[in-house]
Amino acid sequence: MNTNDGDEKIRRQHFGEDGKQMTIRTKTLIVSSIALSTLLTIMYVTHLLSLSTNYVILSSLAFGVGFLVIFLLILDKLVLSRVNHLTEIVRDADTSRDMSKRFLVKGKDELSNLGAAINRMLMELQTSENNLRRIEENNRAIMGVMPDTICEFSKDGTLKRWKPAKNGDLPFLVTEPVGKKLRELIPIQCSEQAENHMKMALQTGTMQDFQYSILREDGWHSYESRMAKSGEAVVLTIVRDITEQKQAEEALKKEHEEGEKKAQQFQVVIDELESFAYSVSHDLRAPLRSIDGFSEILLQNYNDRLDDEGKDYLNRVRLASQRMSVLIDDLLNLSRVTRDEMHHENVNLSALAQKLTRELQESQPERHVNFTIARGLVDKGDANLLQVALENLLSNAWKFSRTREWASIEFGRAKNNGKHTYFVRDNGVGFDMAYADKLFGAFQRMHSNTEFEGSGIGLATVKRIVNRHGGTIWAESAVDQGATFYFTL
Amino acid sequence: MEKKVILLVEDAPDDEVLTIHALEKSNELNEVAVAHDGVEALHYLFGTGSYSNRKASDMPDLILLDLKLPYIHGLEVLRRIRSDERTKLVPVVILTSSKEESDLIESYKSGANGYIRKTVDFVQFSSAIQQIGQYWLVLNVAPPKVSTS
Repeated sequence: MNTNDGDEKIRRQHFGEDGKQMTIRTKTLIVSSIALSTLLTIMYVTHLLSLSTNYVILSSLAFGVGFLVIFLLILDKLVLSRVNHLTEIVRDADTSRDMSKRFLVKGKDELSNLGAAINRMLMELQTSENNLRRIEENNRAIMGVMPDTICEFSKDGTLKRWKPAKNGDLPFLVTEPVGKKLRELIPIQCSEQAENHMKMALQTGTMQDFQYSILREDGWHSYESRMAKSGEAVVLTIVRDITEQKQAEEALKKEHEEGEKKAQQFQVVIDELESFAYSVSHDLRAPLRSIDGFSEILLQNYNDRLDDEGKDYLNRVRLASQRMSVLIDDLLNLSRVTRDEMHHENVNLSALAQKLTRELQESQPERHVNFTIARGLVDKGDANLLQVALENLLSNAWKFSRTREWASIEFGRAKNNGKHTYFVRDNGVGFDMAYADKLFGAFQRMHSNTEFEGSGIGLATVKRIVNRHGGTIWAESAVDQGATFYFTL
Repeated sequence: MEKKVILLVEDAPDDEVLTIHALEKSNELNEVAVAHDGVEALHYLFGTGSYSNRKASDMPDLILLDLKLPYIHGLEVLRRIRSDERTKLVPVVILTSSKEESDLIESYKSGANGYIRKTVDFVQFSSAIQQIGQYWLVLNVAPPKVSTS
């Protein structure tokens, strides 16, 4: 309430009161009329007392002078001193730029209004100046913070002033750029382009962007320059050293090219493998066919001329060639697993396992096997490859549990350290963990061929499939206590 | 029962012997003609070249065609067989060791009636050949023989 009153008082002092005003003219006329009428009245009264004419003249003169003095005093108070004060304020504002002084407004006449108006203008000027100063400081701060080189060019392309970059690097050909034209500052090949950009910036008022390079002792330095119109005949330019950026770009491009080349080479190797696999598939089997075929024909047609030993040998020949055929097939499958493209999709592993176990049971219906398959196991991967993997694991479980009266085979998923881990478990003959590291090697077997047939390639195939899905596979077992194979995808 | 003629197009001598052995085991009445490559096979079928004195109207009842043949690929032979009016309807069974999916698809696309893979196991192979003979020469009603005018 106190401040309000104080503020109100200051406001009235600076800007005057609202309301009816009485002009100086009116005031002067009124006062003069009063003075004159007083004088006349006195003169009339004195005249009535019939004083001598000299006295009358003298007294008129005295009153005249008195009147003049009063008039002058009034004039001074109302007009002259105030005008003086006003002039002082305006002069101060003009010459010494001091806008803080204000005219004290009293009353509501013309000079009051003039004073109030001048006060308002001064205040506005002061605010503008403050704003301007703030903006300038802001700009200076921004420019100071920017690590790039900043220059100002005049319309004809001469550099007027500049601020160097934080790292001290000069994006020019000379060390003293002030007063130089564009073609003296940057290489000839680029300067024409730069001049055009500058013209464009001035004409269109849009920002122009271009790059140029300067060759120094330590190699090429690349710069990016941005120009913008900053006033009718001024172009502001910001130059940034992009050498590192450019080098990174070049390196990336080279990496890309090398990557492409490697991919091409890789493709060549794959194509060669493809044709190799094809020829293996056809050419290696033909002689095997002959070996097996003619041995069999011998057995059939020369049955009576062969003793038991001879027949035995021929049988071994046949078995060997058939075994070799299986090996070739397995190898081919393994190579196909590596070669073929993977198509990622959602695969229902539970359904897959159901199908495979059903087929296994159908192949030997007399066996008693307890299948436990977890439901709803779905994961992302290549459907064909995952089927091959599960087929291998389940048929292994089937094969190695056939010694049991009641075999049990389980397929499910568990959480191991937060990761989904699939497993295939059987209660078959198991294997010795001491040799576990050999388990997934190609052609590595944990059992002899007489105990369990097999080529030793199934698990190598599964491992490769799991690896291609970005997962790992391992196993746990003990002799005669079944085996569990774990894998992630 | 009338004699049936089988044309075997096979270039490998061992395979030739084995296949004929299997064929003869199934039915001795069948006559087996052998062409050792695609060119010879086409000469046989159309009565040209070295077979100019063969009556072209005597079409074989079954063609067993290997794919891996010298000079012309088996598929090309198949296409030529299928593109000629005289031989268009003759049953052709591809007999090959190839396991390539592309061969399988192309064979059927080019008009093969069947596709059998040669196995290493001779007993298995023998049985397959017998079944083929049984089916195409006995069970199946053969297409009419096209008479050459």
